[in-house]
Amino acid sequence: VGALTTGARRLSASTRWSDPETGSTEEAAFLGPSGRGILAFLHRPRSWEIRGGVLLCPSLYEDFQVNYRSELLVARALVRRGFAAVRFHYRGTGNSDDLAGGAITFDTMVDDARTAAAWLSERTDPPRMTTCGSRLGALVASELTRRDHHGPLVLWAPVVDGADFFRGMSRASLLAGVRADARKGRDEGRDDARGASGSAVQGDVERLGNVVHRKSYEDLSRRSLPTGIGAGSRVLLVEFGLGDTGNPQYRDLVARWTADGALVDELRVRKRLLWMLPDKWEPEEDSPTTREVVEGITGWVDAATREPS
Amino acid sequence: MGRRSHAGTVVTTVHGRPERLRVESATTADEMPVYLPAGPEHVFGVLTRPTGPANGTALLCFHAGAQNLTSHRNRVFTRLCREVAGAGYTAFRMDFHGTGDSSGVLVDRGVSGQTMVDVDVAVRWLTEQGARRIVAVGTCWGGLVALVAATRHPAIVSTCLISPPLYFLETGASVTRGRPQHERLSRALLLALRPHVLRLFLSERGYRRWALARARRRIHLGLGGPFSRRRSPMPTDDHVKVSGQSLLAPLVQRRVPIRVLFGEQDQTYLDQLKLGRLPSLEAASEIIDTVITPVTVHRMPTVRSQETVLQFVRDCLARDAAALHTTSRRERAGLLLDD
Repeated sequence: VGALTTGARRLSASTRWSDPETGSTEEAAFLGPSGRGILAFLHRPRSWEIRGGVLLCPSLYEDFQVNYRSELLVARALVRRGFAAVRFHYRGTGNSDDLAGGAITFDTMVDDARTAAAWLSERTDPPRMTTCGSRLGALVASELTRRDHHGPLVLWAPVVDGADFFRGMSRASLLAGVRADARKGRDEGRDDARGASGSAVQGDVERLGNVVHRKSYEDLSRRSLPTGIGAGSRVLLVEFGLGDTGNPQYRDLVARWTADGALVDELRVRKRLLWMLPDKWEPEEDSPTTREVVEGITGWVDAATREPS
Repeated sequence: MGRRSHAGTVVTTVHGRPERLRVESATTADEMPVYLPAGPEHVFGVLTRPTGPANGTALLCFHAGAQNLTSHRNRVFTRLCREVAGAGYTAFRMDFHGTGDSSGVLVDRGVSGQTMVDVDVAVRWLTEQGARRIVAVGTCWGGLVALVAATRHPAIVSTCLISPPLYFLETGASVTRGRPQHERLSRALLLALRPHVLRLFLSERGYRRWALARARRRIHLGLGGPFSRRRSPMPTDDHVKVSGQSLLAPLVQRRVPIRVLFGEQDQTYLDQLKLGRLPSLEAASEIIDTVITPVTVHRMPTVRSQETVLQFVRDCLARDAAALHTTSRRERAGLLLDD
């Protein structure tokens, strides 16, 4: 598939590669019709007997980049346990096509996630599908689990409420502007900080070097994780934080879901929630907290898949 | 736009926002994701084919390493590649090993070893795709990579460097920074004996499992780390270990333009100013054109800075195209290039 080898002496490039150590393959492809394509990556194990499929739904804006490599590491770790996994870029993000009008909405995100999930199913026919969503992607993952897959659900430092996500982004943006001002002793950073406080958005605004369209803000800020997740649902909630007290929003949700009959596990990782890429140069592979997240998620998916559905 | 002299180079200051070229942008239909075998690693990239008549020139985009990916912040590279494809350029935005979607672990900032293997295969593949000339664009550390790549590959005819830490060239030794070492065993034990860690260890099965796995891995790394296959070998041919002057000499000889964009408050620029006289840059002053803008471009933190970067690259390409046009006319007129 996609072999670009054009002669013995030419470089053998391809849309996929195989890891000689594990025998797993990674394949990249643009999915969807022309002008509406998304870039997706399929990770599959050596064995043709796939234990399950995992759809990884990323976040948006700066968050998309902050968690990018960690999500790739989760996909690779899942493959080592015999799962196939798919990752993708929503339209309007990364290497996917632009959206008409430019605004990402919850529906466009869900559509793109479905496209990626369909590719995974078509190529690997997994016996069971797990959906994993990081940050804002948790809203998409929970929607797909409720409506389409009904399998285990991993919520990775999830955004409970879309409006909170934009508030956090605004605060981080404001902080970045203040830091830039302090560093320079001038007002150049104001571009980034303009309109960053409060929740009212008058038009397209800039947050952390990303343009947030008004329509995206209005649509996503009214989305939240469901208060009911369904009896018998299996959920892993991964929480980041440095304090000993957990996130009260998470506690409320877990209490409600558990009361509804869902089985919810929690993984607390002593890690600061980052809104921006860190200054320091450290491979994600070397980060103990990233390893904790990767091992925690893959171990849980492995165990949840063994249980009868 | 004005020009002033600075540290032996021509400095151009820009203010305001020049007009953007109006061209038909490419979409994913004109693109192809690809993995290139690079020694023990596979580097990922996205090729954008020209949407109009090809002009034989390719744009090769290097991000800043670390936590970056092919599209770069707010899709700056995606936008750039699709835009220039409309003007007949082939474009390739790539991940170094250990970044984005590539394999491996990027363990150091050496502009050498596996990093140069990554770049070598990208240049080779682009030329195999029909590119006769390559313009290398790099941000921050990627700018240094672009510079070193240009010294190795005659196909690279021009470089656009965004806030590169050029002062590294002045070390005359190495641009490599060793990867952070693991904590000493005594400190690791002290950390492990903190009350909340002990409490977690005793009460949480999952944490216990993870901690034991980590300890096992630590021992494994300690014993077998140097022989591990998954880590790219440490640099063996550090080209920057030679002096900056000799590094840039081939570029001076080939008259490869080095176009540099700095924000006047960029840390990379301020660090360079602190060093004062930079002999290697002075020696190459005839090919270096430095543009200073009031906007911070290091890490492209704002949309305005991203637009400044995009406009800078557009200007570089326009100047290269004009120079190529002039050369072609002179060649057609039968004049010697050195006239």
